[in-house]
Amino acid sequence: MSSTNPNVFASVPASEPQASKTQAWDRRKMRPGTHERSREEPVIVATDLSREFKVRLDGEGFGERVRRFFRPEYRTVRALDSVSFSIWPGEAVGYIGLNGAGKSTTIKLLCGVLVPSSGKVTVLGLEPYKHRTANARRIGLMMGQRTQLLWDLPVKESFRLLGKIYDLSPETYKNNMERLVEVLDIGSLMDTPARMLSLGQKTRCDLALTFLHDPQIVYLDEPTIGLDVLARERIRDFIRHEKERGVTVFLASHDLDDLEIVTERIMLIHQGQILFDGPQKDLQQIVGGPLRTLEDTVKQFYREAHLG
Amino acid sequence: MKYLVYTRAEFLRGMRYRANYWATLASSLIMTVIQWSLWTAVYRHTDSIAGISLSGMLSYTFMGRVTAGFLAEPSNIRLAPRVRQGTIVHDLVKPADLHYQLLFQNLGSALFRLVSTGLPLLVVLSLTGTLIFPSARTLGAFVLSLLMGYITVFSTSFVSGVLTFYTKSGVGIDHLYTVVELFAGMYVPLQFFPGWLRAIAERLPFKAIYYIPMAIWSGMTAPGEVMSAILSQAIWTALMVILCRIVWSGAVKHLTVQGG
Amino acid sequence: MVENSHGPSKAKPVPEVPELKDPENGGFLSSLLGTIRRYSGLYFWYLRANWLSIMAYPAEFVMTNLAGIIYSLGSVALVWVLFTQIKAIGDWTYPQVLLIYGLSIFSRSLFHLFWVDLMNVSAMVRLGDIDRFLVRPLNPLFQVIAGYLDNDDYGELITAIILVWTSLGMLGQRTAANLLWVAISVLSGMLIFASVHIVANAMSFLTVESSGFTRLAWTVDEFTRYPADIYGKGLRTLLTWVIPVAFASFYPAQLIFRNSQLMRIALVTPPIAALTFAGAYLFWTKALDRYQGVGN
Repeated sequence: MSSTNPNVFASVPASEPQASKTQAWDRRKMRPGTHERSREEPVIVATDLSREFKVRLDGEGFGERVRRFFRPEYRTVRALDSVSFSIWPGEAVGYIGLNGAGKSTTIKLLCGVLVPSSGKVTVLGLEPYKHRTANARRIGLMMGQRTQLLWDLPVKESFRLLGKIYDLSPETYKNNMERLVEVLDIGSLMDTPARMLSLGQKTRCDLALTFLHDPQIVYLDEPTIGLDVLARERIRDFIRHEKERGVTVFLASHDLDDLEIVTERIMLIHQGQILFDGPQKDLQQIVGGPLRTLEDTVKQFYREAHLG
Repeated sequence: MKYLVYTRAEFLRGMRYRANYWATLASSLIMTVIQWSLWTAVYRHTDSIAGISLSGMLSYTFMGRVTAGFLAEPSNIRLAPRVRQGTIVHDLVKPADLHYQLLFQNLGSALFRLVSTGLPLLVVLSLTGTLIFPSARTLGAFVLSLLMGYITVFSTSFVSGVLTFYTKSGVGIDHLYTVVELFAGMYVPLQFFPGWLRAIAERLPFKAIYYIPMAIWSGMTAPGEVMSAILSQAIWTALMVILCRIVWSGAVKHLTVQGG
Repeated sequence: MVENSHGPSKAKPVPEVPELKDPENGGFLSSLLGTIRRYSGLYFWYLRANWLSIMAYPAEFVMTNLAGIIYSLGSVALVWVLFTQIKAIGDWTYPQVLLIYGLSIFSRSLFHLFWVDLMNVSAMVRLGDIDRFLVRPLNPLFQVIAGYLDNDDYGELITAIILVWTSLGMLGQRTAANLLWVAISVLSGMLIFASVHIVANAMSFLTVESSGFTRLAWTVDEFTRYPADIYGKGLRTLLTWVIPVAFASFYPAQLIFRNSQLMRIALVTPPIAALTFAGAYLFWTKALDRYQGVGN
């Protein structure tokens, strides 16, 4: 539990009032950009979002182990503690936190993988876990350490299958493929089995797979992990390119250069609480003026808050 | 003897992965119940088959279940990863022989399975009164026979493992293991085999894995014949060990020439 | 650095998203039909992808499956050798026992071929791979099952077909109607085995130490290799009405045997299979809810 009062550092906006059910239905039929209202409504709203886990306690010593075998004892871990934020369409938000701070729990809650223990989250007007399939069609998720590619098959087969899973019409599929192949330069990889690709090539393909179905929101969890300097730049360029198209980007990464270049807004989570939420320059002001890089700024932030 | 340290280490390792212990016990019990039901039904209309009574048959089968973990096909003989990762170089350089090391290592896990799964099953079965216990002298012969059974089953897997690896065939004896089990007498005692099949079984080493020890225990081998059974098993076991040495020294030569 | 991120975005809008065919839209029947059509179509695509994967290693495929035939025949040898010494097991003759054995491994191999990736669910949960399935607009159980086609169980399938064909001939019952019934029975048996494994593997959503259940699920099908009446009354009742695996081989065979006493039970095989599967699926769904934290 942090000893500093989080409010000193946070600049979290007041949470949005809950949309009524009819509004939720209207929003589902709305396509972004086709209606003025969509520009003012946030696409993601988290209100007092909390998530707890029960962790089973192990015993020390034989006697305690036996006792705990018959009567298990649990400890409750608050992975997310009353977190609130709103994200607007087209924003690129960077999500920073130390390992175990609650980053993946947040993403899982936003994707509908986990259910909140308390509080609420809506994505494009829907609660993700309640409308899992509907939400799934509108979002994309990429995890840097894992691939969606089918291992033994040529890359193009993975695209075909995913196209079918998302029910893409042939023209949509064709258009999106053309665009993604060109921007990510993966045309030459299409006939290669996935297991023969380098990490950089795999990541580009995974990104293409993530954006294939025109998601409105994309969650990227460590997309550039393990990549060399040039590959990383290509990935960042691509993400920025998609941002230009209006996709909302939620980028969790330990690579703060990624965030510095791609995102405008930073959220910093620590032990389940958001300690900072605002533009990068606000973070700089808090640590007393712009430092060389975002990474320096963040490190200074941790130091000043006596964290970590 | 220094290799026993491998046995002990592997035995203790078994103690740590206790997660599905209950499931292993339950599986063992289920298999026993199935066998019991099957043989009882088989003997419903007759008292003796091929000279074997129901009680003899049950003892044969039950002891087989008790020792199933001990005589199970060893799965810890994997050369491919060692070569791929280069650790085989360490194995060849150590003042220990990989063949013997694996033999003793697998013995550790085999013993663990015997004690953790076999022993409770033995207790349960003896309480039902259907399990015949042999005399003390026969028991001694049984234990010796069981040990030789383990060495034989290990050798079978070892030879197959080494050969499979070097021929790169991808298909080893474990793909054909039911055939091994058949000729080992795990399904039915060898007395049940029609003449020509019995002749084949007698000329294969597999009966030394399972049939000989179980026949000794259940009394299918008359007390007077126990000594000769042990002798014949010893010969088979020794032959298999020699085969292992031959195959292994060939492999070592190959590896050192290739550079590992 | 970009402008204030709390206001409306000045970025260009995302191009029109195509009409989203949410199953939640429309009436119940039309969405049910739509769902069935969608999933059948998708299954074909998954099957195609899996088959291409398998065909990437043709030599291994052939070798392993040839060995598989020998492997299965080896286990059948028990029955064959036994019958060189005896005339019957209980009340069942050699061809009858053979048919029951054949139906058992037929159902088992069908289950193995199409559903075996269920046993990886605990690994998927442990590694977090199951989350990927939850982020796609597709039923997660479907993704687990459709995502893998086994490549080494065709040997058992071929053996099963040989056994069933041979024993039907020996019984003089190789009729079209019986063959149709065999097809129905083994599909039912497949569903029943699948149900057992679905429940066993769904346990990994509920507890970390779930591998024991998977292990046990594999042992349960051993009961079906022999006529179910070799078991005592209590066990037989368990295998008929609680974990109805006896419907995978024993009861369906009774219809072919024209066994007047048990023929009627034989006929409920398909409904039992459907009910069991429905129950297993319900359990899976509830367990998955627990994993996601519903009701925590």
